[in-house]
Amino acid sequence: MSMPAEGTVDGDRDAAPDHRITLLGPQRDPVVDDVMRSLGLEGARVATITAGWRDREHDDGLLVDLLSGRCVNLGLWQRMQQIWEEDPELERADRHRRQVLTEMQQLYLIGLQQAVEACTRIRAHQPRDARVHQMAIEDVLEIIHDLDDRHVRRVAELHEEFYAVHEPHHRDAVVRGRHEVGRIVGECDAVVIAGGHVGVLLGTLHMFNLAPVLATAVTDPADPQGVHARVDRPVVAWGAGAMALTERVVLFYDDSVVAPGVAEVLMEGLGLTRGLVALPAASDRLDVKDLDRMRTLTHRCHPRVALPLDPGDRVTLTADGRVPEGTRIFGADGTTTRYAASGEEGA
Amino acid sequence: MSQQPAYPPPPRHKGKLAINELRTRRLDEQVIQRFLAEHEVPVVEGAKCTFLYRGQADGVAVRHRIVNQPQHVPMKRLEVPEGTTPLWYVTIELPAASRVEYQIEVRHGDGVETFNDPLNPHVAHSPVGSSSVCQAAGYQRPEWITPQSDARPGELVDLTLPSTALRRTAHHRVYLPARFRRSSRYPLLVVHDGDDYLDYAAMRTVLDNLIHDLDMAETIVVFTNPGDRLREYPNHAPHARHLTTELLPALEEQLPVIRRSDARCLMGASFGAVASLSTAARDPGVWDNLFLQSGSFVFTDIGSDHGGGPAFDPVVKFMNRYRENPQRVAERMFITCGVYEPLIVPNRSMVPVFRSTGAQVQYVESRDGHSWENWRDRLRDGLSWIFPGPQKLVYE
Repeated sequence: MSMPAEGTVDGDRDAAPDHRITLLGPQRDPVVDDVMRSLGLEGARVATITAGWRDREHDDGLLVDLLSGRCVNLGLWQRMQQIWEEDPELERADRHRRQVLTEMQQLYLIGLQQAVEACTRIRAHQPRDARVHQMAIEDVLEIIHDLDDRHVRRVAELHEEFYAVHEPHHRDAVVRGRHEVGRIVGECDAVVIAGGHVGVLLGTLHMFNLAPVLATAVTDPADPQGVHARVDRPVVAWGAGAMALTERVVLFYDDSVVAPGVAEVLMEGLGLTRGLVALPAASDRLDVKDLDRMRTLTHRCHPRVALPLDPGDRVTLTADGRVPEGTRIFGADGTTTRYAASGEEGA
Repeated sequence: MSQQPAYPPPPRHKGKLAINELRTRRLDEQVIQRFLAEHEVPVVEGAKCTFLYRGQADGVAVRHRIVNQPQHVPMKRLEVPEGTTPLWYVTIELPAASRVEYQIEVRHGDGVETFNDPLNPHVAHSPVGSSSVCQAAGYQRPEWITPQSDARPGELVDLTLPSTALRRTAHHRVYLPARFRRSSRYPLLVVHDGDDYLDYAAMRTVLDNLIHDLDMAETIVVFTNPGDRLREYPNHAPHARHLTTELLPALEEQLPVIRRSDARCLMGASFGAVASLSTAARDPGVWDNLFLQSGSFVFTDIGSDHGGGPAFDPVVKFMNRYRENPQRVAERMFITCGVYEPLIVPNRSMVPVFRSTGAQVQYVESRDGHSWENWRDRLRDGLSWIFPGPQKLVYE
């Protein structure tokens, strides 16, 4: 389940044009111009979202150049600051929400670290009985999985409570902002979402209710939720932008200064994709040679697939937002492999 | 959980040492000069570091302060023809990644002179002067201690505060991180011997870089300075009162600091670490993070003879009392110490005591001494552990 996105509609699946989400690797050496060209979007009018850059949101000269100047920055971070200025009550409530979220994340992480440490120790154990050893590994992995699920649920509840109590969607500043953002996107041919701070980016995307602006909910009996999202125009995203589009945002950084970090679930994303967890710059940020750690990570992502988005990577999802066959993913054994929808991973 | 020092493997060197090669040659002024021009001094070859001095003398020695080692290491005089300026040498074995400060001692008759190594450009500075530095094999000068062109600098502003507790005016400097905004809320770090950390540990540059690299959270840092250091730092009630009941309220009134104990940290080196610990101990629940470098945590298990001189009397009294009844003074403690300094023993001894209080203790040793460059080199580990940056949240 994704966070509250008001105004979703059930569209006519057959009549819809075939727009897709394209996820890219990090854009330090940018290829977004080539990608836009190859998608037939050269010269298209593009709505850009750089809210993850926070106060540098409008330092987007390079991006503007790459998009041939025909783009408009939605300025979500700046708009958010204006809302806080105009509506101090909402700002206070949001700050309180963020404080509670931070504490929830800290407490979840304490439990998670212990469970992951236990998993590492159990894996390192020299088994006298392989079956018993395997059961112990599975048990602790289930506990980690359960911790993740509970955390996501509690975070979602907190967000729902915030929206129910403070009703940002009924406040003038927010309504005005949402209307303007919706209008601008409606006038554009495509949307580009850059990386940056994923928490800040998600906060702005939710505040301006971008999910229904970007996509239409389509009935899908094959989907466990009964619907999937179909984007109304091509969406290209990388880094935090790619993570924000997915159902679940997982934070990871094995190369921290003091000790390898434990991957942690942050919250649900916009839910415009199905069955994947985006891992930007995976080969740089993850200790991919530590297969035990990678196995734990892929198990935690399951049933979603762990999708690395490394420099040069480009993944155009299926029309219903899924990973296409043959995409490079992290398999159950922790190594990279090719995705097969049947569940069998290729070589 | 302790962090194991990531020392590089023991350095290896194949073949003859350069100095031994030189000894086999027919020496004259030109040969020696060429040798010195071709080698950095000390000459580091694997674990062997050869110290050199060139000049007339009755005796020459290397003076260092590695604990439990002879700190006066005489040099040998190389046989040179009459009329050639003598060359003195000694080879010392140093483990990988060591950083050792030293000076050259030269004796002429009864007169002894000690000075920095004229052949070595590496010099470390401190409030009491400077020393030459030997960087053994495997030591790497951290890149984050020099200014990075893309790191936006924070701002340093003076804060003068009349202190009733200290009966003097306190002079502090406040570091505001780049992109400081009054609408944000920041953790607070209070640093003892603030100007020394700025001058000798490059802390302003380090903060700019760590914050830019997302290794450390954007933090407001207050660099405090002592009046009479030896009086104010070893468990001095007025000093603690100043920090907790004068400085902290003033900062909370003037700056957007997070008003929670877990977002506050006291930090210091040597006596500054004692000041940090004793200040936190006097008001538990106010300062929940401590960053203690080479703390002068001298104590006695029996009797009162601690050998540290009168300046250490209040320290020993405080530490002995604390050890009798250890209390949790902070939730999280980051402790560093150099293995070549005498304080390594009390620091190692205190780690389990602090842990026994339930505090989360991270302890890091380094092959270094009681010096500002040692404390500088540990800043990234400590600061990024105390107030971690948003690296996990940023995906470019």
